[in-house]
Amino acid sequence: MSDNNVSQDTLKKIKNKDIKPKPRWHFLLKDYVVWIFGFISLLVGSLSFSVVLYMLVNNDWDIYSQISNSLWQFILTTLPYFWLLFLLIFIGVAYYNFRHTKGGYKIAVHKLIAGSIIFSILFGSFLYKIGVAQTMDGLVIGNEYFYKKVINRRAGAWSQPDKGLLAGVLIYVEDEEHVTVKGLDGELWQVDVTEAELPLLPVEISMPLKIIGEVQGDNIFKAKAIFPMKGMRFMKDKGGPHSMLDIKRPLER
Amino acid sequence: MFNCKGKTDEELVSLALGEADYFLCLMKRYEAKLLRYINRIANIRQEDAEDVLQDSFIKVYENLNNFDDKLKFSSWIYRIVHNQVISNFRKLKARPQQIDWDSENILNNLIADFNISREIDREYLSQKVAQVLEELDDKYQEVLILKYLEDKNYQEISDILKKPMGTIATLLSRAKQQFKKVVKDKKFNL
Repeated sequence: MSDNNVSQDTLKKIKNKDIKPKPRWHFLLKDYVVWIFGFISLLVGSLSFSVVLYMLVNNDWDIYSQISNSLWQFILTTLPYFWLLFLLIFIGVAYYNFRHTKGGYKIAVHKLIAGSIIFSILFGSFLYKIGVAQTMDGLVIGNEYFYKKVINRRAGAWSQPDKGLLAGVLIYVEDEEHVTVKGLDGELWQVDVTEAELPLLPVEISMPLKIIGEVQGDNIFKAKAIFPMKGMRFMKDKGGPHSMLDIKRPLER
Repeated sequence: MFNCKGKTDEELVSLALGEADYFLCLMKRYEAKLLRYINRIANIRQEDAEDVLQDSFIKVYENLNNFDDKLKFSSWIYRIVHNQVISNFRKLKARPQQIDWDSENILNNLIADFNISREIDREYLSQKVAQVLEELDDKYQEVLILKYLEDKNYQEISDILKKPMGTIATLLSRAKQQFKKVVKDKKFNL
């Protein structure tokens, strides 16, 4: 092309090669896909935020001084990093998708990101309010080891009898001084409650509990304080009637 | 030849979707401007520039159904050409060439916007201004070309480069800062 008549040559090429404009639906579909992925990312981000909120609300704020050296250490240890990471990733994906919609470039980066965060906080709070976060937390327990180590480290933190922290489900009341608790790892513990500070709520079979105290022998734990363990719904599955059937007889001392 | 006189770009887009010959009118309207634009931003031979333009025209034709009538057609076609030039750079690993900033109109606009003294000899001024502008980062040259050479406003530059208007304003402001810094570093008396 050097006769400087690009337009004529281009038209010839279009006709000779039978080039046609791509159909409108092709572009509409692409636009819809970008929008849909943007909204899905926002929904997943909101869901993550709702679980973060659920975990924060149900954290051990009331007894943090008994299980941590300082408030900051407690916060850093129990922050739900897994869900926060999930939240950040999906806010990023939502931003990427909205930025690639037709008019997405007109909105400043910080406004798009702030919009995604605000939406996730508002919708996530709503999801928390209607109980979706609790269900979600229950759904991801599939791999319990991973759950305790990564997703909800608070559960793992309470599975350290040697450090005086025991979490489990009350499955048997032997007498007024001794109860049996099934720990998160399935081990049975005979808990001496003689000198323990008991929760204000009535303690019932199948109730998830967290206990501060010390190990006094093989699977024997002396409780100093007992609290109901909020936000650990999955633990209920560890107790219940079937578990009780397994230990009808009192534990041997 | 189809009669295109008096028809807007947007009307021609609709007509070209039914009859390819109307697309010739659109191409003719923009051929010279776009070829000049490609030459300004790409370090390629005239023939290569024409090839880039042809590829761009074909892309425009293939994507006619994607034209958003909220945009000006000229912004949309400049955007496609701009992207084609970038993809061409990537292929050839070429760099933008010496840009011809030496025009009375451009110089007057730059003098007004960059607080340059009007008392300096015109020839000296245009030579030095061109030297300074060549020193600027590509991203600043890009917006300066669109603003001062292609005479585009902020909205159009935003639509062509697909960046928010605020970003365009920031780029232009930083271009001015860098301009002043280069003038100072090179000890030019402007």
